[in-house]
Amino acid sequence: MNEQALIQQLRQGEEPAFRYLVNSYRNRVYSSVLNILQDPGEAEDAAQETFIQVFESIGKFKGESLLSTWIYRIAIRKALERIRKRKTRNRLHAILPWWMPEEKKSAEADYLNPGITIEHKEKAKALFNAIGALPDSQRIAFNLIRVQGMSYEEACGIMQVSVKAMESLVSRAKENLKRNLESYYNHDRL
Amino acid sequence: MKQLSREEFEQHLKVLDQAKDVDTDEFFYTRLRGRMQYEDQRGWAFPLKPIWLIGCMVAFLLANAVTVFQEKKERKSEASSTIRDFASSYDQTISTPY
Repeated sequence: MNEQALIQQLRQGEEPAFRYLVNSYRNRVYSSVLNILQDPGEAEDAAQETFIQVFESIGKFKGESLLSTWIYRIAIRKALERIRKRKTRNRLHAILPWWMPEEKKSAEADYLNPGITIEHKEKAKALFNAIGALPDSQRIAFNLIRVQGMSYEEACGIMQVSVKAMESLVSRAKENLKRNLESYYNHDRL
Repeated sequence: MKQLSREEFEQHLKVLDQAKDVDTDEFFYTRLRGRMQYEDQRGWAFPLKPIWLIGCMVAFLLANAVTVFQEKKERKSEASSTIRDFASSYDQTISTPY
């Protein structure tokens, strides 16, 4: 389906167009948010929230970028919102443990990408923990470029930054990751 | 403390090459529609978010503090006017020719 026609139909609230959009993008959106959140349950929620936002805000989409870029941008914002909520919850738990009980750790909390082989499990865990400790912008930049393998052009469109800024973010992310991983090599690894 | 060399770091990053795209299942759309319908039906609900609860608690405590403070102030001024009334009714005010 032509993108313009799809947008037009979405603006008119046509259900088949929305179904088509969701089925076209669901895997890419889910995979993107899962890479950031590292939790399948939260990734499902964030992906759903992304499409709800797309459905509600399609009237505001000005067509200045590709529809896919716009959808990814929303998805990443939703993933970041979830990370912030998680942080707030943890902070509140530290202050008021009786009021904000600790989140139950599900089996999914130990999620690791199914492509990772058993012998690299520990390394991958340390790496994803280190990625999770990066500042938001560095984490997203590194995720889009290195984990999801996007082109700089595409990633810049999503993050709305210049190529130079993106290069700088990835470079700083790598520096911080290297530092974070040193503790893994020095303390955690026996 | 061991410093991680650039080569070791790059070697560690290669783990990411094994990661593959993970798909959601075919019922994603059904679940999404279900959630949208549920949220439509639910309508307006008081947002029970921590920020609102803390905000309400702070506002309540502030209102209490203001009321107590004002009451104290009023009592103080009431007490001083009673003393003045007593003095004037018994002509206790000091008048001096100097």
